Amino acid sequence: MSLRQANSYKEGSFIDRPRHTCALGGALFTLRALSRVIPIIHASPGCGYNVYTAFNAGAGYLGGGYCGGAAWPSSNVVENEIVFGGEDRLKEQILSTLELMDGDLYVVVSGCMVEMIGDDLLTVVASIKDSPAPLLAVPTPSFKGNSYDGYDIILEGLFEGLTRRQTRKEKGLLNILGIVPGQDVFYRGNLSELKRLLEALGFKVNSFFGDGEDISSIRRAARAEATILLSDVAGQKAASFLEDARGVPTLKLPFPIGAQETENFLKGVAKALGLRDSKVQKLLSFENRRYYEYLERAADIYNDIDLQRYTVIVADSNYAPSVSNFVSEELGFVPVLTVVTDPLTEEKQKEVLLRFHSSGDLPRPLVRFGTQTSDSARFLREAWAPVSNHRYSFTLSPGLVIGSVYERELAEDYSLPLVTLSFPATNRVVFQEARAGYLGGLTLASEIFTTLVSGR
Amino acid sequence: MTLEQKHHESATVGQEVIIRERRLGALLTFQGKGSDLMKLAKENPEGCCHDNYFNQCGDCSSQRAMLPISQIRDAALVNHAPIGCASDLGQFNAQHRRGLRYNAIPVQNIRALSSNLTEKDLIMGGENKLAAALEEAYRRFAPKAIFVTTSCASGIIGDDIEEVTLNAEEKLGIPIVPIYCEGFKSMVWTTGFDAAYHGIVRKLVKPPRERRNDIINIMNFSNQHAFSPLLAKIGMEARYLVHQASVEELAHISEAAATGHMCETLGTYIAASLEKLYGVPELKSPPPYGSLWTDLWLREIGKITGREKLVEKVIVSERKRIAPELEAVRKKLEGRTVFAFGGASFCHNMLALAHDLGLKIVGMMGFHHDMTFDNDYEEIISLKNTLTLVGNIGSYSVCNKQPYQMIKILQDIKPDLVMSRHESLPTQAVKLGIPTFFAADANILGGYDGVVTTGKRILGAIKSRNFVKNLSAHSREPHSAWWKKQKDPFYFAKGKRL
Repeated sequence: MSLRQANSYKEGSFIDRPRHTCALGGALFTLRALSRVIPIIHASPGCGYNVYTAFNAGAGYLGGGYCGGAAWPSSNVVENEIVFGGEDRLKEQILSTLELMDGDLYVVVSGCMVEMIGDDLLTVVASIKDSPAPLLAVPTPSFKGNSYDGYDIILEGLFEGLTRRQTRKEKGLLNILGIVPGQDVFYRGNLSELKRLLEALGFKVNSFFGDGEDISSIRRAARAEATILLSDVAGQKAASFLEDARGVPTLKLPFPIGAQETENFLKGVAKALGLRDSKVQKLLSFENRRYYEYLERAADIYNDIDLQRYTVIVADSNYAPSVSNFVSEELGFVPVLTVVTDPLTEEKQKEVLLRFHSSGDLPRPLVRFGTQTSDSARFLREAWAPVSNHRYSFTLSPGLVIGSVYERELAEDYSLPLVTLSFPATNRVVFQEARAGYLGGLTLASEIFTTLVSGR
Repeated sequence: MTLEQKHHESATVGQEVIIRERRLGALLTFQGKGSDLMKLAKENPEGCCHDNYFNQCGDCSSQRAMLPISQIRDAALVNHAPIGCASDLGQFNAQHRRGLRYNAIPVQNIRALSSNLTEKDLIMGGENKLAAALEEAYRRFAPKAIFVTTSCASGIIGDDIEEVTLNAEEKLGIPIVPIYCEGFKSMVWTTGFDAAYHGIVRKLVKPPRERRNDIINIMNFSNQHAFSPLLAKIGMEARYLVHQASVEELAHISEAAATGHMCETLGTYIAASLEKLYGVPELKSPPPYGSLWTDLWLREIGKITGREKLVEKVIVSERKRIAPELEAVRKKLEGRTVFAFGGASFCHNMLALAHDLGLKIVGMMGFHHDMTFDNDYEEIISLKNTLTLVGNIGSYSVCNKQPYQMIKILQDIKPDLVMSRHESLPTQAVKLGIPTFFAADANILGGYDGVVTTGKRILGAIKSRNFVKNLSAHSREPHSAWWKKQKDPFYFAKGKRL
């Protein structure tokens, strides 16, 4: 398959039912995921609430949290400001926010309209001398990028504003980047699982958005020994900033799901950080034993009723390769099509393609890149044209679709069960559960099998 | 603008709807008694829309316009905007699928594209991109019509949407309906409802082929067929609009005997338009919430369709039918206090219902207030109807979805129960330990059965407060110590400006 054929995304073309939001959206949900941070939105009325609605519903009902949803401070600029400029209104909004909202950090972010009229956030913020907590400004207009970019833009802004270059690093301290709150519906559970494993190896972990963390984790980011980057796309800019400007090297590893990938992940970290092999082996043998004791439970039913499935996967560039590898290498399923949904340049697509393993007798699955929601159906039609209309001819069965709620139509068309895992996932309420690591892999396997036996 | 001009402009089929600030004198901030607001509306019908100098994020016209039209089942939607404006399509999709399933229509995803304006387009213009997106929407979805919603960005760069849509209409041979709903144009987000309906009336509704004396248009939020059994008793059918409607159905809403709405805030603009353009009368009565308003609503339908006698019979028998259950619920709810918040007129509906259930009304908060409606009928002024029914309201505020004010008012009043409509905001009450009744489906609350059903559900909400209690004990309020001590929720509307 040539890459050109696979590429349906053209830079800046229209998007059918997008699976992501704008830079402002990514920034706001990154801030929402940090403890006690108060965003101040400089934008039209509606921008904040619109993004909130998207993530609340799409990210497994994430909720507004401490200061989110309808409670986000926002300048709500209208026609008057377009004509006369919105900087005065912004200053008024910042000053009143500092008086009224109680937070550890205030961050001014912006929507398209105020950037189009040329408001200068940085100047306005610089003019405010008296703030109960640090006050930063990071321009995040929608037209500058999508929500994955917004995550990068805001984190780079926070690292720039809150850290200094540290000559002495803190031994064993690691940052984790590349998991985008909200776009990754399971972000918090994933971070918590990876943190659990790294801590078991003796590391200290800044996951920034994890259980019990607050903005001191951002402040400590420049003291880390390394930044683990779990994405080919998100977090790249923020990690580069930490590397170039703060001297924290980046260690890029695949987003791990299940025993095999997680083992590789832990070995990768250990090797790069010079950890003793025996320490790693001890953890791996404990984790692997537990993992397979559980997975083995499914062996009887798996073989009794043939749970092996042809699989269609629709997810972003973090999940698509990892889930594809997981179902083929660990569950023995046959991925027939994997659609990568985030907007990627050709160069990025090449990188992402390398993440897909070919396993045993199985060739690499067909990988297509499609930001458009209707792409998946088209790709599947192309990949799996019915041979004949004969009743007993070979069809895409037994099969399984792993994707978002937008894949319901596709799943219904082929009469296949659907497991949702990518954004938007309006059909699930997600708390602490993970899809990454050992425990995340088990949860995913259990959900897949549960779905397959749910009619019983 | 004189009233005459307003009438003329509001229901014509010009390109754009006039924003509510100008057309209806809409307010965003008010605090006082219900009677004070009534007086203000009389003295100053043009209102004076100003905002606070601290704001939390509200809502915008674009979002409110996109929701109803994304639910029209055989149309497509092109959002001409940067990608972020299409953020909540996922949420609208969930809503649409639920609606289709409920209406026993084959379930499908919404059909919507974003033109995805990027930095380059904002410099070079986005018209070509819109044209391409329209063709693509046609190719992908084979829709019966395509709606185009505008955005702040498309408005500022000045794309000629009329021209692009007219060209596309010619090329594709289906109606292409531009909806002008730029967020920055109106501080009052309900302008978006008007913009959506304006587009529908302007491009899709056809002159009547006949008059259907047995069909009534009901402008509503979610299409539960809750009024059908009641209307069937007088030989009428409800046409629930516009969610899950088809383009063909919309074309013929001009043939109905009348237009009613579940909320004046939502439906009075289209009702007035249909009346002025096609002679479909707007019901001159409050919507059917609570027994008394349901009586008035049925009588008005009876009057328009010549079913007066039948209606009187039905009122007597329906009232008699629900009496025992209603009495039992009332007894259990007696003396409980209730506070309502939501879109202005739907709040009034909830109060009418609460009054019928014997709850003690201690206040309300509307998210905006229209000083007038498009048709100048006394009978549809929801605030006046409410005050007549329930008496004066001591704590009446208008607040544009601002949690910092809501919390303060609720802390001050401490009601036994909050009734609300508008997702995510009841959370504020829950965090204070106050049980809430959420009117997720506004239709279910309507009619005689709605009174009893709502009463029972409220009883349930009050009875088991454990979730609310648990959460309130562990939730943190994001406001400063200074604000917590502040007495006046409207400090930032009146205080010293920068």
